[in-house]
Amino acid sequence: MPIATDFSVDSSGNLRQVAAFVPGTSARYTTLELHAWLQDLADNPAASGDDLVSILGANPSELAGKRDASRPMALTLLPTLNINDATSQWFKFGSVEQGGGNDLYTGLKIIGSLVPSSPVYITQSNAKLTKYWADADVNTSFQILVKAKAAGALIDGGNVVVFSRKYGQTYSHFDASLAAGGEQSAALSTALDTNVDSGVMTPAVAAGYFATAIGGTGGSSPKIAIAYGDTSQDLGGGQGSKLHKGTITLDGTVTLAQAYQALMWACSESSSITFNSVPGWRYRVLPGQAYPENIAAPFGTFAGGRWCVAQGWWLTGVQASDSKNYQLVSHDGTTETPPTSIAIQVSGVVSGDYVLVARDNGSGGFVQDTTVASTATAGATSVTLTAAPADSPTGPGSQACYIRINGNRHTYTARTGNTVSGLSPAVPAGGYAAGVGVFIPFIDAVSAGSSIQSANFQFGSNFTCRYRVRNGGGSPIVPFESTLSVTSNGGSGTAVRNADA
Amino acid sequence: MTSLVALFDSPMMCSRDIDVPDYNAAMAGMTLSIERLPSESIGVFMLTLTNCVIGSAINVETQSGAVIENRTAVASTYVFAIPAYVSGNPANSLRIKVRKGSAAPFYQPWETQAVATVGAQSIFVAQIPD
Repeated sequence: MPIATDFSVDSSGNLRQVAAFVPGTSARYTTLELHAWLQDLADNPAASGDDLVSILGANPSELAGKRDASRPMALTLLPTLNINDATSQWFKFGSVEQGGGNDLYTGLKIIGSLVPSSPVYITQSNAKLTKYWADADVNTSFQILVKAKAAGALIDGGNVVVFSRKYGQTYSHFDASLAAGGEQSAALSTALDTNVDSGVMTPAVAAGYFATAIGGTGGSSPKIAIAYGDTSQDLGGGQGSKLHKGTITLDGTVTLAQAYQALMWACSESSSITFNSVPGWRYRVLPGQAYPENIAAPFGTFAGGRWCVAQGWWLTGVQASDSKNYQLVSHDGTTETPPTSIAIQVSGVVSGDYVLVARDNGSGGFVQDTTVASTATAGATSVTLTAAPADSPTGPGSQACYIRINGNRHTYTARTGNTVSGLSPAVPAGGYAAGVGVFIPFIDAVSAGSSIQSANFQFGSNFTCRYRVRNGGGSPIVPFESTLSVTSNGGSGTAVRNADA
Repeated sequence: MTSLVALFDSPMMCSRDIDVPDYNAAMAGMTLSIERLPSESIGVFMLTLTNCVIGSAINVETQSGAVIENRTAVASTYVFAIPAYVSGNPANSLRIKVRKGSAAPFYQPWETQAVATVGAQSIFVAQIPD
């Protein structure tokens, strides 16, 4: 259709559409095409038809710069010529300013790699704009004009947020400033989300996971409850107690995969859920916080069967089978992992071999892990340490726990933080003064068989152990000494027994 | 209407239009003058526009929008004979528009103003490519 048939200009300068723009059917004109049409009219000797523009009137339009069909054109309508919001839907690839700069429609273009026909919605002043574009526009070229300024004031500071959040795909959004006019780009990226089975976890099912009070259909005892407020919790992975700003509580019947899907739906374009009064369709981070965003999945990504929960959330009610399938990020940005229990084993020994395993100091000896914090009197069965390593046994389990205080060997039955209790033997005569050296061997005992194992303990980070195997009695060997690496899978070493005959 | 006025001790108005072939102010001791109505031109303003882009639309109009000349340039120089009126007559205030937006090469609308006086004026048209 020639542009002249789609618009009219009345004697007051009102440039209006003849018929409403139909997304997916009507073709948009560039702002350059609008300018060219107006200039074509402007040199006519007299107005004709319904386009009342001619050389008898003022110049109707001007461009910032020369005509260039390869660049977005910033067009100014002069002096009273104007378009309205409905008519602006017909234009793209540039901007239209009018009313002496009081009104501005700025071009918006979406770039990036998207799943075909990824639906796009735009928010301005925290409200969705009524769509005047088609989903399929992203398949070719998504270019529209968006009103950025009205009556001399930028709308929401000239900012918009462009979203694509289709349940079943990864999400994307982009903050764009339209204040400068011209054409602004919004970079989006979406992909199919293989962790979402929208055939099973349908939107209706997902809605049933949330309380009715926040827009779900799960009544007052939802499968996923959301709470806001400070909570300091220790996940047990060695990171200690950390501050979180909100809590996601699963009711124990929900797998992490299901929780992830339900929360993805809750953040989708069609979501009815609100998070602390923030609609799910524009939820980005825990309300009130300025955390880095998880753009593809606002509550955290799910990959390899593991949910990396977004920052600030504390997660509770996780099923035992999922106990290691997630990680959290505390308010201060610390990544928190569930506890990983490991042990150290030394093999290649025989019954009667004495085995000592402790942290290697890198120079042929053992690390002094800590010191006694306060005087322990003779006969006491507990001591307080200055800083017990978090990755040392807290309880014996099927194996014993060992501690060397001032060189004296003890076993213990519990370690809670820096307090070691159940010492056996008890603190000897003379007691232990504050500051006495302490190290906590993982194994410090006589083997009863071909191998010996430590008590389980919480893995924190990789480290190296030194181990010694000696036997000067019934089956004498040349003292053996070596090191072994301890990782999240534990540690193991093998002794080489050379007879000391 | 043009009037003849003979000055004696007091003005005497003639009731009909007359021709004044040669004005002789000292004739027989009386003074003659000519009064014209404001709507009557007192001469011609020869307006020359140079450097027009061929194909441009040219419009010369008064400030009130009354069209005096409108044509399409087929040469780079155009001369218009425009009536000039007594000083202060708004019809002397001219707006000159030169536009070329219908066919490439396109030019930005160019516009200037002029005041018609009995005589001639040449205006250089500096059109800028659009």
